[in-house]
Amino acid sequence: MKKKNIILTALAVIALSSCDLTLYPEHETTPEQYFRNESDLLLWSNNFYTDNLSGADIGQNDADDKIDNGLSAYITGSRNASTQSWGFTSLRNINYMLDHLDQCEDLQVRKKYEAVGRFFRAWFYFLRVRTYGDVPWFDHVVGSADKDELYKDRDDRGYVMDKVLEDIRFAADNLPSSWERNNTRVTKWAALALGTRAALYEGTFRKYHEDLGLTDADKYLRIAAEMGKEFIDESPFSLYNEGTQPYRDLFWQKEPKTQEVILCRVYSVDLGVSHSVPYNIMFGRTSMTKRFMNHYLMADGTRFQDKQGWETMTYTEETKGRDPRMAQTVLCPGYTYNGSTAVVPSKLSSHTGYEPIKFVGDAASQLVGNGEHPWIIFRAAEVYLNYAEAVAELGTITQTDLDLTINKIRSRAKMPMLSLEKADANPDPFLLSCYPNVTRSAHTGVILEIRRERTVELVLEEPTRAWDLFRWKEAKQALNHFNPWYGCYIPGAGTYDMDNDGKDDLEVYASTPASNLPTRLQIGKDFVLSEGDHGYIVGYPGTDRGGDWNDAIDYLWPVPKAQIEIYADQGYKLSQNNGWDNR
Amino acid sequence: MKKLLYILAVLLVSIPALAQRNAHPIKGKVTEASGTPVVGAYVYNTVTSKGDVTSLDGSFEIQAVTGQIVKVTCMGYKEVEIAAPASSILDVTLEEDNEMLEETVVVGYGTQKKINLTGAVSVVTDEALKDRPTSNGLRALQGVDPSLNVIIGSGNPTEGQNINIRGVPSVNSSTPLVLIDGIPEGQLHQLNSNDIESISILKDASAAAIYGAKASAGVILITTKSGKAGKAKINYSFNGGVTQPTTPSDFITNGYDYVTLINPLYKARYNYDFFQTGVYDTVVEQTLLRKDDVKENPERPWVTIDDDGNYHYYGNFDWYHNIFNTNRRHQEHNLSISGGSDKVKYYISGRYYDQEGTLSGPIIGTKENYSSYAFRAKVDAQILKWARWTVNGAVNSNNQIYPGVTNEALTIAGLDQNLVPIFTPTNPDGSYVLLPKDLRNVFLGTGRVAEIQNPDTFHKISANRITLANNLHLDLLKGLTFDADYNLNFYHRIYKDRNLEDTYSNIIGTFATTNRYSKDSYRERTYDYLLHSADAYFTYDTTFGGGNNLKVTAGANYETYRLVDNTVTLTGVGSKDLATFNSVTDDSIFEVTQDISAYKTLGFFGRLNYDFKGRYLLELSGRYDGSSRFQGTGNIWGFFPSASIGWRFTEEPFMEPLRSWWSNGKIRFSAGSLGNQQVTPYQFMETIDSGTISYLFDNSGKPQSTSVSAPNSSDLTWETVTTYNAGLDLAFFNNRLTFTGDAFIRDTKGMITSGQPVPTVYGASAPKANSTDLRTTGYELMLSWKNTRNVLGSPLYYNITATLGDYTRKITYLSYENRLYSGNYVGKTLGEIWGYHVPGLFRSDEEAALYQEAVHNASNVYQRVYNMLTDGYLRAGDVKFDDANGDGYINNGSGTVENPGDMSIIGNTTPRYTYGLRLEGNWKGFDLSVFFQGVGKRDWYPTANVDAIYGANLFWQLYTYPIPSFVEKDYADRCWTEANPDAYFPRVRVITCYNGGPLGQNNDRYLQNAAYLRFKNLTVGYTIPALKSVFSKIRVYASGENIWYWSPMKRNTRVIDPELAVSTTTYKSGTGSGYQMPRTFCLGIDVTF
Repeated sequence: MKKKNIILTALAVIALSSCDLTLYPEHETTPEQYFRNESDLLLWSNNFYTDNLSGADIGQNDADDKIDNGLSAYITGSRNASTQSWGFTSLRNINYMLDHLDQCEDLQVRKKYEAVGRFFRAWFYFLRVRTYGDVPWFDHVVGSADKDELYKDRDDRGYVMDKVLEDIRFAADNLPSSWERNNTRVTKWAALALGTRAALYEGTFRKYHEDLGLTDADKYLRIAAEMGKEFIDESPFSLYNEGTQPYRDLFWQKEPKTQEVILCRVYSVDLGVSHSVPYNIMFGRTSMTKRFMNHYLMADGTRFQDKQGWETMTYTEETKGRDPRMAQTVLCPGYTYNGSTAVVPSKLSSHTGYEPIKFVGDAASQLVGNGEHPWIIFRAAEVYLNYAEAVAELGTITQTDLDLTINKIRSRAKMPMLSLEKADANPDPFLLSCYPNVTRSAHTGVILEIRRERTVELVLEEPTRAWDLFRWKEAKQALNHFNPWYGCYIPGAGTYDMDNDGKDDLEVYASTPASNLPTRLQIGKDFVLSEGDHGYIVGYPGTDRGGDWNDAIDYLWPVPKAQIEIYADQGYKLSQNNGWDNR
Repeated sequence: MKKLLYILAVLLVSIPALAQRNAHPIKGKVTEASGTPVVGAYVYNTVTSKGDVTSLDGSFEIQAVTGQIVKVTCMGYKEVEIAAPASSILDVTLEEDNEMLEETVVVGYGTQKKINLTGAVSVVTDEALKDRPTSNGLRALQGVDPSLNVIIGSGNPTEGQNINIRGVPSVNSSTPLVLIDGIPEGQLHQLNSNDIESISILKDASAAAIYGAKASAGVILITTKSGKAGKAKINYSFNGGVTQPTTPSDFITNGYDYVTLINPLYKARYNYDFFQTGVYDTVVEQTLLRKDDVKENPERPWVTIDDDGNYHYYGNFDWYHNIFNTNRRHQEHNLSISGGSDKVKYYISGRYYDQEGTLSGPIIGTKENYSSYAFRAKVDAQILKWARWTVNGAVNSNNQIYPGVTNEALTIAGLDQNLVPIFTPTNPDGSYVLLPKDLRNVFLGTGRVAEIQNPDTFHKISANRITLANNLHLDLLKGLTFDADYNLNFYHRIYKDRNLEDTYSNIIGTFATTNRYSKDSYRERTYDYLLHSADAYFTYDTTFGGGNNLKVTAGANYETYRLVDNTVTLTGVGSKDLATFNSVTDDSIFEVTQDISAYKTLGFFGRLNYDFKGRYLLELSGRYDGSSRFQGTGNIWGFFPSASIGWRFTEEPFMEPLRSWWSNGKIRFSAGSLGNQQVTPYQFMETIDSGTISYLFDNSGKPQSTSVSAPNSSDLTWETVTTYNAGLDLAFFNNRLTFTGDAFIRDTKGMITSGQPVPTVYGASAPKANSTDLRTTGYELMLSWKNTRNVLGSPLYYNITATLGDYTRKITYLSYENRLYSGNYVGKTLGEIWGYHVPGLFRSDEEAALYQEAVHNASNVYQRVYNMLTDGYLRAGDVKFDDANGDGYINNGSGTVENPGDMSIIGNTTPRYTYGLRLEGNWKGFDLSVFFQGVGKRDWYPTANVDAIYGANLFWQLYTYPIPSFVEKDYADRCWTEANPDAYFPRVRVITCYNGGPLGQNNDRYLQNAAYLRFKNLTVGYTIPALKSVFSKIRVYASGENIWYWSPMKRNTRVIDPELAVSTTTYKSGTGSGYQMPRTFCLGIDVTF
């Protein structure tokens, strides 16, 4: 009896010991089981969008046209190699998919997603080259054990840009022409738009930065021109031109204007995906500069600088009779929110007195996280501008080129046409003072006009102004250290009619206010004027903002120092950009 | 009844009869059998209740009438009753009570004599837990044992179990194994504490080794009560009372006071009055008119409507007491029946507990409530002479309902912003006030005030657990037994959340709706797991060769666990009255997520105990363990051995002369190593993970996306925890004075952290490796004294127990180091707080100006001050940061240990010197228990935490942004002004307590000493000596929990409890904002039939 029990219990123990401890996850698949169909690839590539495309944000990249509460590091001179970092996670995700594409048996699908992957890889590398110049090129996932490849030094920027443009060409040839109704996914046309942006950047950067030993500018300018032309000739896109203020409506209305917008991010407060651009404009004190305001022509096409006393015009005066886009971009007399609420621009609450209203719809959108207008990544107008600039810089520009591009933009803005002949005959002295490094050629005049057009048309959008200044090599004189940010002109203490309704609504006073107007601001306390008791409002007064810009160094960012050290620890070398070794 | 009458008759007759005779003195001695005198024994006349305590030579003198019963009692001896002799001499011999020697302790897969223990094991009996008016047993455990750290992060009764033994042994997750009657995944907060008979805490590796890789953080074994043979014993107990916060809530509720306090602060910083724009310039004037209106006066309404229909608010609204209930009622009923025969014994119990929650103030729509039901039935049957079967089933259900958003802590955190007394929760028409224009377009209370008022919004959590334990015990041969267990633990938790959009009104007759904080949705989340465990083991116990005792246990354990967490969310519910997925509209969106986690483990274990005459003790144990969590590595299996030895030197012949007063002395030493299997499942495999992303392609909802998990780490293996423990057990005066001390070193090797860094171009984080070692050192001391004394002629039994424990944790090895003090570095003591030295506040504007000139502008500490619009310079009363390294910059250098700039270690968050002090007394049917508990040293910096703005608002009050909801009436008196230059807080500058601001920078001036001493419990009871024929016991008692605390922090803030301050389980961790700590008072009755 007892023996039997012992045997039984011993058997039970043996039974336990034969338990299998193999257990694989039930709710997840392994990479080997994935990437087999379009659904897998679509879901995987959804992350490319969040990883790479920038979200709605106007806070970044302050320049000579705009400042806000925080200044960018290249202005304050606080970039340094120690705090710099470069992310490559999104590239790994892209290459991970490209590496596994052979698991998908449908060749059509495979090609389509190869194009998606390569679009984003080109996007990724264009941004890296723009920032760092030379960067290491990887077109597949590298394992941590494969040290020689993982720790390789940077590749030449030309080599990388050729790869980028190869990827873009492949994407343009293999991406679908349309996809989502809001143009929220990458298409053939988005690839061409990216091609013009990237090639123009590289072409003009090389042209204006010969001192860095760069050549072949024309090769890239030609690619920009070719892709631009292909887009203009073959794409279904045109400029949005409905309603009385098509330019303004393009940016604040919730539905993207898909005849113009090639690629954008969309938002929905209801779905919990929103942004705070209108809020940031108000509470981040986004401020336009006098220099930017001076770029606008008069509505009749004449130059503002040709007007008598243009330099000392008050706010109400200078905003009269200008390019209609001014009042659709900056808070000007007569502005109302969508609907009816009038906004009196009397508070001068930005750093300069000029407050943008581009992207602002109604008052409610100015709450935190209440912005839901689309954020445009590419629109046709930019491609037109890219194309025009490329052919102008190449020297092949014709009036037809202008009519296909700049004049479409001007026409939408209800501005007179630009004549190649007139522009070239009489380069604008004001613009020349803004862009002293521009090449002197037969086409200097038109190049300046194209820059003007780009400045006013694309303000606060992508690609941001700072990148334009960098490729044109105009950062040095344009940034504050050399050229203070001025705002609107205040002739002195007194009362002002800011909304042009015949009634004063702002008092500016020296020591004590004399009126009971709704807004009373004190000189020297609420703002500082360039000449003490009168003059331009000075953005960020009191201190010099910015380091001593060095053209030989500052157009590229430092390679992260921590990375150089990691490479060195393993016996490899990662090279640094010129001049950043000890910064 | 007859019996009762008889007793009464006897009493009536005998008392006067006895009194007639004369008492005479009786002298004598109390000795042990060996002749050793017994000191401190209590000898008393049971009739007169008068007596004496024996002196050093054991002598006493009492008065008694011949034949009266004299009782002699002494701790550690058996009680003796003798009739008083006619002579005047009475010598008494006491027999030692061997209860202590026989006392057993539950250890892994068996029991052991306490006297023979060689590992570090603490035992907590039900005495420490009874009568405590706590919502669950976990809360009562705090402070009862010096090794057990019970972290109470908030007053929420549903807060989970957060405990560790001697500190967490890993920088990764590592929690003690908790077994309730052998069932794993025990949750103390979901257990009826009345069912607990004893708790064993296995602290060192030798004690825990038999549980292998699950036990690296220690083991807690809970044994529930069992039936005892005899007549059915029925016990019913009840207690009811109120719970308040431990901290006061005397905040400004006067609109005028608030407005006139805040306005100048904003004026100074931004050059505008916070409460004054356009047409309502009049807010100061209007609130002044209503300054004395505690209740709204109809002539001066708190809400007014202007010509355009806009509402304006001038109230004196007490938000705190309208939202939070500061007198929360609770009741508890407990019933148990136990008894049985020699063959079959049973124990059945049930408990009902109900408590109002903190969010149940007058304006709350869905009042918060917590209730708990528990039921247990245990049957123990001797089936055959050699076979016994025990079945033990328990059901536990904990339910909570609360308002607001799903995360209750988030609701509470959100409410500490800008609930200004001038605003009222509703407008005269009953609509909610949410985004009043007078509040500069900011949502009142971070947008939570409409939801908490809306009665249709609710959140229900129901946590249900069913456990079943089966044990078959066979007596196979003499000394050989076999046990087989099969246990089941099924946990089912369901969350039901009904959220609605917030509708509010700013203009009379106009209503706006926002779904910014709450959407129209219904969500159900089911979180279920099922755990099976089976054990089979033999135990062999034998004695041989005169004094050699040997006990061997060997067996196997198998466990499977599978957890499924499903969430279904329906956005766009058809009807506001319904909470079901069947209520949809054509815009409804369903969202489903699932997470599954599972593991299997198998282990073979063995233990050998040997002792020679109870003098030399040896224990060896080990376990060979396999875990599916290590799938994907080559190391599924690991072997974890341990050994311990003990020497009871008091058993040696040479100790004989001291034996009269030195009862026991034992030294112990143990060493052992355990694996830690508490790693994320599937950490070692690459898998495709899916989730939704916040990126839209169209309006059909957030899209799905997939990605791959972190790259493989191929040579990863178990973390191992090796513990060395030395212990000393002493007992004197027949065990009346006892001491237990343990000191330990615990080395955790190969903790899984990021290894050697890879270049960023790798594109993923560095594969994790076994790269970090940690050493924990600490000790625990327990000293106890128990005795009987004569107080007013009746015996007073009392005992005092004091405990003290401490540990520190240091990083001892890293395979790669960057020496950043913010991360791990060799030599780091975990919990370090790095910060600046602040020698004081600037005494004058000149001193401040000189200082400002001397330090560099761009330094991060001052940026906030410099950026200020109207006042970009430092002034008297501002905080002066010491440029410790004199380089002109106030910064943290390169952030490394070697170059920390002006930073240094200013404190540590680890609780040090945790102590407890318990006094218990029993006299004439009265009983008293007093319990103090505390932490000797701990630091807290009240900074911003979760994001840039939200911070320790309750601490900083006037320095926060947005403006604080709750400002103490005298807070401003503690802030610097020219008239008050020695104040603790600096010149008031708004928005300076967040990360970027000067007060958001850790510094030693505002570092808080979060040490505390808490009067944890006071219980006074009285056992009514009546109706003995019906009730075997009736006891009434009053009890208070968390009655009072002292902390150095109280000097600087009275409204934050030190435990809540350091809590990491609230929404805004480490800020002192959360579900307030409870202080409970109750009355109870305990009846046994």
